[in-house]
Amino acid sequence: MQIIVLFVIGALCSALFGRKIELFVPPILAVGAIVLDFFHDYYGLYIWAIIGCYFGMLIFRHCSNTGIGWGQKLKQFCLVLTFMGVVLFASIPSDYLSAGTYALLGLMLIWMLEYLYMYREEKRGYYLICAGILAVASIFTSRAGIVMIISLAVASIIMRIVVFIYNKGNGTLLALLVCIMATAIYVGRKKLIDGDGFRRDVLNTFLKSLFTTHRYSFGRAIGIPVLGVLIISVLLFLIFSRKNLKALREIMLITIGSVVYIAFLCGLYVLKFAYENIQQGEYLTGFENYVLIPVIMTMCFWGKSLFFRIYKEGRSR
Amino acid sequence: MIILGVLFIAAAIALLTKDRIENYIAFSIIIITLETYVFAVAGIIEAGFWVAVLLAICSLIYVIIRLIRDKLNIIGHVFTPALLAFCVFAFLIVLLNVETQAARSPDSPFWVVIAKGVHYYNDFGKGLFAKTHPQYIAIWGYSCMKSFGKWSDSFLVISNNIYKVSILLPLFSCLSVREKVENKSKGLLNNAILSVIVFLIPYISAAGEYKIYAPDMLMALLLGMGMVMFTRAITEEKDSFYLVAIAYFCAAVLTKRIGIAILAILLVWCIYVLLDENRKALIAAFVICPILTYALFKRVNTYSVMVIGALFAAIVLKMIIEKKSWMLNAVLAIIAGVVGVFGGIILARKIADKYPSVDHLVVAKSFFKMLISVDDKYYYVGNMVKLPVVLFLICVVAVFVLLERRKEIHITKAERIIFIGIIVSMLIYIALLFYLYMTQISAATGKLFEDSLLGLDRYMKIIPIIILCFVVSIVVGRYGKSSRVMGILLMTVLVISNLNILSKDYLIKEDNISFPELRAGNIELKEGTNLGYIDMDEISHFRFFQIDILPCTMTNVDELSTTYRKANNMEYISVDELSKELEDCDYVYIYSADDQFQKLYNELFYDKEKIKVDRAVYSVDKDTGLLMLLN
Repeated sequence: MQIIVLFVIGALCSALFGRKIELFVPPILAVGAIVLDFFHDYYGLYIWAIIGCYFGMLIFRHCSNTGIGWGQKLKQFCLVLTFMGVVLFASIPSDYLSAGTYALLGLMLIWMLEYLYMYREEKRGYYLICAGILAVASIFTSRAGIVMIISLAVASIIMRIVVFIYNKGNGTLLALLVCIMATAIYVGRKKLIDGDGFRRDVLNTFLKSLFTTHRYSFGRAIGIPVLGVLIISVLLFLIFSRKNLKALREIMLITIGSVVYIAFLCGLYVLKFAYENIQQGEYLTGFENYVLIPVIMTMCFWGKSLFFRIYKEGRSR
Repeated sequence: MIILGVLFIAAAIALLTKDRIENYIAFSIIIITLETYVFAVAGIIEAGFWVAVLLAICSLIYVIIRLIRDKLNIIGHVFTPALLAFCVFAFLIVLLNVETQAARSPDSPFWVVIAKGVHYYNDFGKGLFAKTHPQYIAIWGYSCMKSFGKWSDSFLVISNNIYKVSILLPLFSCLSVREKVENKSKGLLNNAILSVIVFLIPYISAAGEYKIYAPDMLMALLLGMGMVMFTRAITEEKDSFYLVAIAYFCAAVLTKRIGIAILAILLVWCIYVLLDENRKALIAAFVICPILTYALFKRVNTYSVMVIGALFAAIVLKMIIEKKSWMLNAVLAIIAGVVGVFGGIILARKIADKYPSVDHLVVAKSFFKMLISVDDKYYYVGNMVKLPVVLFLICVVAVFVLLERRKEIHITKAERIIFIGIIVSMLIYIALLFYLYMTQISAATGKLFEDSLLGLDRYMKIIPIIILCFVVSIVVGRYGKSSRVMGILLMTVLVISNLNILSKDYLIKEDNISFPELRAGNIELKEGTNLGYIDMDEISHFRFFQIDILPCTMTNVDELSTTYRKANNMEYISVDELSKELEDCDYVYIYSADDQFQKLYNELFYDKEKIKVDRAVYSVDKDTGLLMLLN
C-alpha cells in the first residue's frame, strides 16, 4: 500500500512538471523507503529489490531512444532485469537484508550523479532538486552515504586539478604535488599510526580486506577484491571504449570517488569505528556492506554503458 | 652523495652520445661499481671510491662547460621527464625507507652482513661470506655509505632501490623513439602513466621490494632491461645501447651466482641475432665481457663455460634453422632425444642416490602444482588477479601474438626472436630450478623447515620481471603516443602488482628490533668479541642481532629456537650441550626464553635466584663457564 502511495506521489510530481514518470518515482520511492523504515524486516528485502531493479531500469531506459516499440521495450525490460539480477547476485556477499540498504545506496548515488549530469546538459532546476532529494536520502540511509557524497565531491576537485595540470602540461607541478601528497600521508602515518599497535593492526586488516578476498569478494565463482573491481572496470573501459570523453569522465569520477571513499573509510575504521567494533570481536564490522556502494555504482555505470551501446547500435542499424 | 655523482656521469655520457640521460643512469652506477670492484680485488677498495668521485667531478665540469656553450641542446638530453620521474622515485623511496632495518630483508645474514663487512673493514675480503657470494651490490652499497659518511641500514636499502628504478629508466626513452609527442599535455600524461608503471614493476608478484636489501629483483631487472637495450640497439641502430646491454649483463653475473647461468641461456638468442647481423666483434664482446667480469668474483670457475656454451648453442641453432635440411634436423632431433632420455634417466638415478633424504615425489608434485595452479604457499603471478606461471606465460604469448598481428606497429625480426628466446629461456630456467629443488636446495632446507620449496618465490619472480620488461618496452615503444593504450598497460600492471604489500610498506611501520642493553654498562664490543645468542620467540631475531653487533661475531644457539625445535621435533638440549655451545663466548644475550629454560639450565647461572631471560646480557666466566648478569 505504502509503495503505491509513493508511486502515486511520484506520478503527481511528473504530471506537475510535465516530465516522464520515471524521473520522479525513484527519488520519492527512495525517500519513502527510508522515512517509513522499510529495511528492518524481511519485507524490506523485497522492497529494495523492487526499488533496485526500478532504478537500474530507469538508468538504462534513460539511455535508450524513446521512439522504440513495445517489443523492444519488453526486450529492454528483460535485459535490464537480468542484468540487475546478475549484478546484485554477484556483488552482494551474503546477508541480503543488511546489504540491501547499501545496494540501494549505491543505486541512489549513481542516479544522483545521473540527475547532476542531466542538469548540466539541460539546465532544468528540478533535476537539481531530484539530485538533492537523493543526496539527502543517501545521507539518512547510512553514514556511508555521507562519506560517499563527500568522496564524490573530493573526486571532482581532484579531477579539476588533474585537468588543470594536464592543460598546463607542467610535469614539475605534478611531481611537486605527488611529493607533497606522499609527505602528507607519511606525516599522517607517523602521527596517527606509528607506535599504536591497535591502529596498526586495524590498518593491516583493512588493507588485507581491500586487496584480497578476505572479507569482500565480487563474483561468487571468480572472486575479485573490491579494488580489483575498480581497476578491472577502468581496464575494460579503456579496452572497449572509443574516444567517449563523457563516459571517461563519468567512470573516472566514480573510480576516483570510490578510491577516496575507501581512503576515508580506512581513516574512519582506524580512528573511530574499530574502537566500537572491537566489542563484537572484530575490527571491520560492515566492511563488506560499505564497499558494496562503489561496486554497485561501477556496475550500474557498466550496465548503462552497455545498454547505451546496444541501443545506439540498434538505432544505427 | 654518490648518487648525485652518478647523475653527473650519466649527463656527461648523454651529452657525449647525444642521447637522453635516462639510458645511462644505471649504466653509470654499473661503471663506477665495476671500477670500484676492480680496485677492491686489488685490495685498495677506498681508491676505487675516490676514482669514482674524481670521475663524477670531471663529468660535472664537462656538463657545466657544455651548459655554458650550448644551453638549449643540453635541456633535451639531460632535463628529461625521466630525470624528473627519477627524482620523484628517489623521494618516495626515501620516504618508504626512513628507519628501515635491512635485517628484515630475505637472506639478510648473507647480503647485509657482506655489505656491512665491506663497509667496516674497508676491504671486501675480510667480511663473512666474502668468498661464497659475489659482492657487487655490497660494493655499490659501500660507495653510497662511504659518501654518506657512516653506516645506515636505511641508506643501504635506499641506495639499492634507487639502483632498481634507475635500471628501468630507459623505458622512458622508448616513449619518444618512434613518434615525437608533440602535444605537451599528452606527453605529460603518458610520462606520468609510465612513471607509475616503472615504479610498480618491481612489485609485480614480489613482496616488499622497496623495503628490502636483496639481489634477486636487481638481477632480474638487469637481465630483463639488458635484453631490452640489446633489442633497441638493433632496431634503433644505436651502438651505444650495445654497450649499455653488455654493462647490464656484466652487472647481472656479479649480482647473484645464478646470474651467469640465466645470462648464458639468454645470450644464446642475442648471439643468434648478432650472427644474423654478422657482428662478430660484438659477439666476442658479449661472450668475453661477462666471463671477465665473473672472473672478478671467481677466477677459475666452470660456470663461465656456460657462456661459451651459449655461443656454440647459438651457432648450432642457426645451422638448424638456416640450413633447413630435414636430414640434418632429423639427425639432430634424434641425437637430442636420445641424449635427453638417457641423460634424464642417468640424472634421475644419480639424484636418487646422492640425495636420499629428499622425498623427490613430494618435491616434484609441489613444483608442478605450483606451475599450473594458484598456490598461496609457493608462488603465482599477480595479486588481485592471480595467475599460475603457465597461464601467465600463455597470456604473455597471446598478447605478443596479438601485437604481431597488428601490421601498423611492425614487430621486427630481432624483436620476435628475442621474445621467443626469452620465453624459451624462462622454460629452461624453470627446468633448472626444478633440478636444483630436486637436489641441493631441498636437501639443504627440507629437514630444517619441513618445506621443500623454501625460497621458491624469490627465484620465480625473476620470470615475470624479465618477460614484462621486454613486453612493456615493446608496447611503450609502439603505443607511446596513445594515452588509451598506456592506460590499459597501467591498469594491467596495477592488477598484477602487489599493491597490498606496497601500501603496507608505506603505511605500516614495523617496530624496530634493537639491543640497547648491549651498549649499556661495561660491555666491550670490539672485533673478535664473540656473543652467544638465545632466542625462544616464535620467530627468532638472530639476524637483527648478527647485523647489529658486527664486527663482533655471534654464536646463535639455534637448537633452542622454537622454529628449529618444531622443525626437527626436538626437546631441549642438555645442560652440557648448551654449556659447550657457549664456551667460546665472551657474553651471552638472551632475547627471550621460557620458564622451562630457567628450570633446565639454572646451574649455568652464577646467581640462580636472579635469572633474567628477557633481553638480558650476561658475561661468561672463562674459568667456571657460569653466566653473570650484567644488564
